Amino acid sequence: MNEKKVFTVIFILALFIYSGLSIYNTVPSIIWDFEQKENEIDDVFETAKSDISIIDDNISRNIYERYQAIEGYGVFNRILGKHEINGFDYALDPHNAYEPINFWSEANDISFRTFAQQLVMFRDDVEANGGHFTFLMFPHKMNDAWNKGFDGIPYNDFNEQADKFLHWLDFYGVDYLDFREVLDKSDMTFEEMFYRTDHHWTGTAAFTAFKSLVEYLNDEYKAGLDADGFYTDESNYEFGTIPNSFIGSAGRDVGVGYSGMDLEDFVTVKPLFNNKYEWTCSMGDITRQSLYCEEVLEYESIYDSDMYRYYLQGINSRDKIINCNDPDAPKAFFVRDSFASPLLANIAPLFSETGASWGKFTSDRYVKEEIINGDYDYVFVSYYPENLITEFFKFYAEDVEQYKLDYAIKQGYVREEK
Amino acid sequence: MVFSNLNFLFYFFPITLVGYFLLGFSLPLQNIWLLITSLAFYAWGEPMYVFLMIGSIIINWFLGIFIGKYREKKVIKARFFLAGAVIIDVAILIVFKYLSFIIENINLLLGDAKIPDPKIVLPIGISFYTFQAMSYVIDVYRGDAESQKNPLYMGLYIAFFPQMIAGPIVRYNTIEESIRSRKITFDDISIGINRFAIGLCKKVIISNNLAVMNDLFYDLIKTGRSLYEVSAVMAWLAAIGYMLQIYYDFSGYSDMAIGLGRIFGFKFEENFNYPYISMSVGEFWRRWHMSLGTWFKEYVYIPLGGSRVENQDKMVKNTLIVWILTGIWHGASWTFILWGLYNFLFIILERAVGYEKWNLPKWVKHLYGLLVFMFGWILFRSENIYQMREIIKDMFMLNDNTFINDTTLWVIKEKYIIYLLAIVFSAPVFPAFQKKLNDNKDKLYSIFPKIGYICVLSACVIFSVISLIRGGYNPFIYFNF
Repeated sequence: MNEKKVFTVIFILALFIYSGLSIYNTVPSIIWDFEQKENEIDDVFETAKSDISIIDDNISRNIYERYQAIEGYGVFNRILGKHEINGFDYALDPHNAYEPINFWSEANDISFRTFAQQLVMFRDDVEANGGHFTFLMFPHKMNDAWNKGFDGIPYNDFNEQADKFLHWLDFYGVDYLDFREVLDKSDMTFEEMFYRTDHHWTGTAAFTAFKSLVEYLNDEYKAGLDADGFYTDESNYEFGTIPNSFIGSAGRDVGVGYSGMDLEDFVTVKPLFNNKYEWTCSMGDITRQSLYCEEVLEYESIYDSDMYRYYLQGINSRDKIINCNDPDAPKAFFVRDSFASPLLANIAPLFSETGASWGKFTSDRYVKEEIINGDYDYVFVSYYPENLITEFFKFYAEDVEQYKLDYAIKQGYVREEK
Repeated sequence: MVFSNLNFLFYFFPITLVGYFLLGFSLPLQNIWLLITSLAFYAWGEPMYVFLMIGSIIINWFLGIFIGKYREKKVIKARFFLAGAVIIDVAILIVFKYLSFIIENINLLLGDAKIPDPKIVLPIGISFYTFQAMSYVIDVYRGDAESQKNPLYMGLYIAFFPQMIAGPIVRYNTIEESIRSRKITFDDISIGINRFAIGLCKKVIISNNLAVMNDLFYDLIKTGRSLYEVSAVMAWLAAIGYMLQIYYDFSGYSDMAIGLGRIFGFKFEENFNYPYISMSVGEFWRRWHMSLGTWFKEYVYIPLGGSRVENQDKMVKNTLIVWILTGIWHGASWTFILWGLYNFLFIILERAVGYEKWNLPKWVKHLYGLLVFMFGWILFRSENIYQMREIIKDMFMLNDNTFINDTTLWVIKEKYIIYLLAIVFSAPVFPAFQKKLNDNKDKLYSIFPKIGYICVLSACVIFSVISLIRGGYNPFIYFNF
């Protein structure tokens, strides 16, 4: 037997079969993308590059049985007993959860003190308008309190950064609520607080945070929210799970097989009361009874699903939620990231109007013209530790720099430019 | 487009194969088909620079006609056209590859008088195809090949997709006959497919995995010891890992190129011959990137006189010129030039002391060779002298760094299989196994290894494809040249 010839026959057969199936999968998608293509570029070479890019993207996305291949790769790595996958993109932790890896090899010029100073200015403007300002720190999946990880693996742990930032908030007297402490004090297990294949927290963890936020606002600012304890009473909600249904963002990258477990159970929170909201967001103006979007719970392909959008459609650059049931309640605004979505869905009944803006799209102009002038009773900046980056702190950045310059001139450190 | 991409493997390659064999009734049509697909292959990554390559083809073809015409009777005219072709080819290379480097260094010398940097993007494969173009005109001048009257065939020689982007550098006289007439048997296809498959596995399974680690380690070293402490073991892993990565990356790609050429009836010369079993730097360069070494020997070293010169000083000078050019060929950076000089130094020293004839234990010679190659690759890989210095200091704990740490242990635990495979197969284990298989006359005994070969290679190819489908790191070092 000539083994090379046998291999050749197998190779050619497999190549043409797989190629045929992939071309069959890909061509309709390529045609569709070209039909949707907007904005003809003048430069013929740039146009060619753009067209080639469209074709290449489609080939990558629509190759035959793509997700089965990803799962197969994950299972193979699992069999080998590896704790990392995808070239150090992710590692497993002792809970079989996927954690991004970070070797902390990049120096940056992030100054948490400067971010805190920006929040001071933001707070001062809010308070000048009669409002209250609070920073909310969302929890990170990697935290010694509930997840120590395996030795030697450089997990993407941002708690040190979070602690440094909160230290400066303490220094400048900016109010904050650290949900890491809230969850640490709760009885919840890691599996109850976080999803294995996603970086987000569960609806259950978010509800615990919601209760602590209401308590905090009532204690600190005499807010008088939820006086009868109706909205913070768990018995007024149906906490459920959709078993074996969820795969998070990390899971969509790596597959579920790598963890050696099934799909996750997705936590749902269904209010047992009706409200009426007028909600303005990227989808337009919608009137709804609940901010939990059950329509996203059904999907064709698990790998194209994004069930976290159950909570307030995940994240929009802007949200405005009018609570038609209680027009006299206070108004609140959240500069936020995606972690805030379940929290907003929970807290919206307590306010007459809840505004929200995605931090990385919250410009200085927007804060000063829309938020400060919006007469909100409560303004929150609410971030997950990884979002303590310059991109999420565009507001008051120039004011702080100018303040520092003015101070330096006044002290004689710097000569004023004529 | 590269061979280890989905668009090549499952779209370009099958379509090219089908078209080629459907045109099997006409060799000229097959050649035109290969030229069209080769230009499309190049244009896929470089829609603008494909015209540069077409321009180079036309110029060299045109001048080659005149060189061929005047070569015998009007030698001075032939030399004039040859000089013109070489000057144009070298000028293209200088402008597109070295101009920014030249301007940067002039600006450093001038101080404030800044010449603006044109920031020209390096066209992929330019070093390879311009060398092939020069090979053609020189071979025609020397009478080693006939000038090619058909510009499409000339285009096929320069642009042929298997070897155009990253070699092997094919001298025109070695494939002139194949362009005009070739017969393809199932043996050729079979040898080609197997070679291609092995190359794909080397590139994707071994080289890409090593690349992830090496790039990470070098980044950590670049970060600086005040921010990140690189342990000595990690630094050694970076050094050894890069040695292995560049070998599997480049030899894997060469295997794929040679395999693809064979499928279409072209027999390219070998480019690698297990260079890491070498016991001297001289031997290493007879086993590493052989097509480049042959090109410099044929077109630079021997015309300068080579080793057959009246005095050794001239031989040393000739060798120095070749190694400076070899360094420069690899890239527009002082580290590459230094690397070329580093190799020159060891080659000359070995010749001077007659090292290859020394009667030392093989393991000593082998260790010497490996250490020299390894430090040479550190110089090659480092972005600058600072990074080179830091990695060497880290290797010998001169940065007050630890010998090993938890993260290094973890990386070893995760990736030791890759290192083992890479080290084992860097020696001619597979040919030895094949030889034993072929020598064994017992059919029953030999069937199991043959089935094993089919299963293992199939599994490796499947795993390689799965790795490509899931996406991930797929660099190619020699694309930068």
